[in-house]
Amino acid sequence: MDLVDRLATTAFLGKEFLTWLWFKTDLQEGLITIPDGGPAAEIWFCDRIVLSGAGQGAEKVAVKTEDPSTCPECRSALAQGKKVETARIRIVRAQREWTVTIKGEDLAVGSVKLPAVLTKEEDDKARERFTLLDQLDGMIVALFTEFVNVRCDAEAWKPQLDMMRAWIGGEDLSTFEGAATTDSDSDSDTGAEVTGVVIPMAQ
Amino acid sequence: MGALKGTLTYTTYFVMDEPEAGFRETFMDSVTKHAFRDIDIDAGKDRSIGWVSLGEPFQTELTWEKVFLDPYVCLSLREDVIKVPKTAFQAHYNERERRFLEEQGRDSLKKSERAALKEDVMVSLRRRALPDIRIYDVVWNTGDGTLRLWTHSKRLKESFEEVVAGTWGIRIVPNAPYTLMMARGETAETAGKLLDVEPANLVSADL
Repeated sequence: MDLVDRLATTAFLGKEFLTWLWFKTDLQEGLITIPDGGPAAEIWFCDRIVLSGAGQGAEKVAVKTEDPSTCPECRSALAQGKKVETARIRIVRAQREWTVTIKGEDLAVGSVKLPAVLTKEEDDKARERFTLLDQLDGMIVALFTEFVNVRCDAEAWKPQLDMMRAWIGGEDLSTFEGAATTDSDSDSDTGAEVTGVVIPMAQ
Repeated sequence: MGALKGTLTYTTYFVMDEPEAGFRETFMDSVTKHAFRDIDIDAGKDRSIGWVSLGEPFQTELTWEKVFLDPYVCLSLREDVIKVPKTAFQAHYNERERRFLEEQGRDSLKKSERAALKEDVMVSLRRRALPDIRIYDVVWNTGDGTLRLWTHSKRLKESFEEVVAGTWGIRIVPNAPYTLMMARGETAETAGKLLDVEPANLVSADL
């Protein structure tokens, strides 16, 4: 199998990743521990989301909304088996805020808004912007790696899949074993408090 | 918007080879050799693509000091294209053909004469036209091997991949779920496992 075939065979994982991330942020009320050693982050889906079915030419649902989680059209699309094709995501970490659009197919990023640059010199400004981009990419990579580790481990994936199905079906998730724990290990400095359900992570 | 201001839209690539010893000199030779040059209209060209300083379309004198902002290699790919509107070309060609036939005292052209006239008219119109100038920023983090190109245009990505593969002597792969794992040493093994994963049905276990 050449690289082009490998990319095509695994492209669906990008949409599953965005759908999983939406589920995770919704359940944890936006407070996420990104597994890269840094402080916890607030992650929100915002502004615009596109959901689509499998295959070329599949029907799409594109919605402009402040909060996709409370949007009936988005919930309905999920219930029809659609997954997140493109999402606008806001990430706040250590008092700095990034906003980015991520495409599921290739995890391409666009319309990135960076936190304010603090340096004054032109060269330093450029370097700081690139460093902020590196930080954004690093957070996305860490989250995607976490997803992949769960997704490739049948034992870890099964309970998450069951919970995602329950979430999509609008069921009460508190009945899931191990679901209602708090993220007491996270060293959040976002000031937010975890009150939602925390998904058990892969080991 | 480019790399230096505003919102950012880019394509990420991963550099798969560690730069070899002496890479800096080879790289700069290659960048200088492929620095932007004006469209060679006399050679029948209507497009030119090449390197300029980051965000500076007219700065074609490139040195390591200008392109290296530790650990980033920063350049822009400038592409000039001249497009002669079809209707304008046809009007000018018709007039040229009419004059030619009048001068020759004939009422028709040979096939080769028509082709030569068309070429001549096109070159003269290209000389009078202003090229469309676009620049696409490129930033390579030599520390972690990510290479960003500020566009999502498929056509430009193909041109960029050709330029890099043909002149920089490095192998790059585009960002995607598979390559995101493959390109990083600590997750490279996981990439193989992705090939065995089937799409999940997130709605029901029964379907």
